[in-house]
Amino acid sequence: MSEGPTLDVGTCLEAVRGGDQGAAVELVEHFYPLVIKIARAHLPRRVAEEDLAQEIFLKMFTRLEQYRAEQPFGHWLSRIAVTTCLDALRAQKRRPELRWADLSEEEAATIQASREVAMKPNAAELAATHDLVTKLLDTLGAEDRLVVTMMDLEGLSVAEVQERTGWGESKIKVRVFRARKKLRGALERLEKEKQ
Amino acid sequence: MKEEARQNAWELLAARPRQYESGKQDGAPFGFATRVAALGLEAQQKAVEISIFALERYWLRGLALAGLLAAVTFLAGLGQMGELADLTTSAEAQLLSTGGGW
Repeated sequence: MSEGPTLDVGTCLEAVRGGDQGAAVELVEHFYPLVIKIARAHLPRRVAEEDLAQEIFLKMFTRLEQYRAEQPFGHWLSRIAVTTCLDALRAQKRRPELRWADLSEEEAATIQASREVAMKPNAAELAATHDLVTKLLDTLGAEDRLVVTMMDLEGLSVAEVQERTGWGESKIKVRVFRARKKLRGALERLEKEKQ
Repeated sequence: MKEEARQNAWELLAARPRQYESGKQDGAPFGFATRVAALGLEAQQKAVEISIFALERYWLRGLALAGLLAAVTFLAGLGQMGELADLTTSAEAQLLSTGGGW
């Protein structure tokens, strides 16, 4: 969420409002890492991350007049990115309950391996875990998924989630509690199926 | 220990992808910023044009509607005032016919 010393965001925004294409390109390039990180974290199935990033930037441009310099531009843009991702997640159908047969060999092995805390996973195992976690998250509703991704995968605090979503503290806590319960239940069911 | 691990199954699993590096670049792909900036400025311009168009097109209708509402409110108020005046007149007449004073 840093706005780096290389870009004077205020001046750049003024130029963009005046229709300066060069400034608009500079703005997109500068904030691309922030936007793509959020888009990747909350990417729905069958949606390309670049398409989602483009949608976020287009919303940014059309709402630029509404931006007030009271908050850092990065925070304002993050909020747009999160709501756009949430809309995209809502638009996708939830994956039905995950079954053991839906898992690849690597993903199935991951469930067992994740219990062995002391073991340091290699790159392939980490990739398999990433895929398994994505499949599990796909079984959740959009809001549950968003909150649990932010808190458990990105390591954000409740206050940071509040800042990005604009939701109340109790809503976030309730959502994450329910989502974790569902995910634990899903993992338990998978292990029972395996046995 | 096993029970605890069962309870924390999700937490243990979720801790792993944090170490996962997808290998994807964080920088914008070639041409992305130029394309999006052009589309964005166009969309921005359209949004401004739409609001000006809406203002130009609907301000007269809005004014006419506001005038109509004001006239209806005035006429309704006038009707109520007439009814009140009738009531006052009949009360006065009744008072005079009974020979009463103030």
